[in-house]
Amino acid sequence: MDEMKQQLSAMMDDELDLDANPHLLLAAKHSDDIAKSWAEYHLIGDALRHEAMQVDVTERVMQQLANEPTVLAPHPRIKTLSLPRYAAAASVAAVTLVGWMAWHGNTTSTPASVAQSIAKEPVAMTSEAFDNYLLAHAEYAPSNSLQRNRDVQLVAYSEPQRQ
Amino acid sequence: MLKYFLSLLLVVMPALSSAADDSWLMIEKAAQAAHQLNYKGVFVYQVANSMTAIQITHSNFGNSGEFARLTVLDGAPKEVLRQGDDSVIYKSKSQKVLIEKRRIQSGFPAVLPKITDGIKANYQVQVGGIERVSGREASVVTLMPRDKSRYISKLWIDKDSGLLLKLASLNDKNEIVEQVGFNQLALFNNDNMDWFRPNEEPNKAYVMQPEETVVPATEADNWTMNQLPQGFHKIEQVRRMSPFRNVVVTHLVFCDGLTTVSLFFEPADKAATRKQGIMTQGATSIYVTTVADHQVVVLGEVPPATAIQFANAINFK
Repeated sequence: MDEMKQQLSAMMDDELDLDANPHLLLAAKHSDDIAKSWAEYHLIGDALRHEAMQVDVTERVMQQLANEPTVLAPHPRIKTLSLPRYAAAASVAAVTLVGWMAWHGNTTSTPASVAQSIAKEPVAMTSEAFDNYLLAHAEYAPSNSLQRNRDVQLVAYSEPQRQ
Repeated sequence: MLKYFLSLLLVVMPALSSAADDSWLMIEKAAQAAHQLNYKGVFVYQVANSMTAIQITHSNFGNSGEFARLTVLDGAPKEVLRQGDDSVIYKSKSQKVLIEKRRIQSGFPAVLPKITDGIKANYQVQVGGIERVSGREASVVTLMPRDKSRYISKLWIDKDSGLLLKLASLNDKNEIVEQVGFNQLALFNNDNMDWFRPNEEPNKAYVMQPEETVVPATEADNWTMNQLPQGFHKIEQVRRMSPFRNVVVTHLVFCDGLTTVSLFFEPADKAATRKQGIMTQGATSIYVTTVADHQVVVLGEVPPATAIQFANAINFK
């Protein structure tokens, strides 16, 4: 949360590119204490349409707030907590087996020659662990290699279906 | 927009010496078209017995760069907003939406490589006929590996726009292991950017996931690599903290010009049972094993036997 606030304040000071960080705006809109710094998403489109123009973010945000009815509307207060990763991992542990089995269901058969050379038992890898390896692999794959379906995999397959 | 069409024309114009050169050029042109054109459509990603449809809108604004929005239409709601090399992933959960920022360079249909000597050394290009994909005429081009340690890639390239319409990975028995292809595609030519925003769920909290810090790794002295599968070279080496326990994970990346394989290792958890096994998901193989008190994970778009070869090539001193 603090990190996000810093980023938001950097954005307000024009140190951070508004176009490049649209998620900050959305995050801001939905967290109460920084809701006032919300600038609508269409600012991005707007900025793009005038791509050569230098955008004074602060002014635009203030202007936007003045015209922004949704900010004035009642807003449910939901406390957002960014859990440390290990806490998330712990909660994932409970669904490991289900995650694995769902995934295993999608597994193609292993060639017999390979099957003979490896252990028969399945790999007990949590879906979260798989996510992480796949993401790391995708981030470091060079741009001059066939990217296969990296970002598709990330959105379609980064989580095996959990029941 | 006109200048992009013109620059594409310039690439195609020169007289071509052979069918193979012609095909390499067609791949290069498809790689550029995917970045330069404005298009929207729906493509389907198919692996083993499951299918996922994804809606894509892509625009290139010249100096402002490339923008894309992907919305997953099947299963858990997810979206990706991509600008240049930065991807922001929105995963909708029951109470909240998780926002994750990642450095993903691109995705379908912008998945084709630069043509290098490395690719030509490891793959032969073969020209196929004309087939119809999503109502459009496509030229079929096959990248045939020179050995069995990698998959065959089959490309369907739009005759009209030069865009990649479909991509399939095939094993040495010519069976499709994974494919992705458009079933709806339209090119457009306007500057409207209203689509570049995620679907908003006003009643949910938006939670940003912390970004990982990754440091380049210097050549470590406690390991060496033996003979790698033919044609693969190490191209990157980084270190990061394991998200699960307090150990450093070393990540090595290998590439043959077209196909990439990652090898991760970390000190094995003494308390945990030793794990070994292989999984495949479409063209991706994952092999987990333990080598001299290190947990080794190999992940890449190669046949399982190749993933195992990588794990067997590492030596710890």
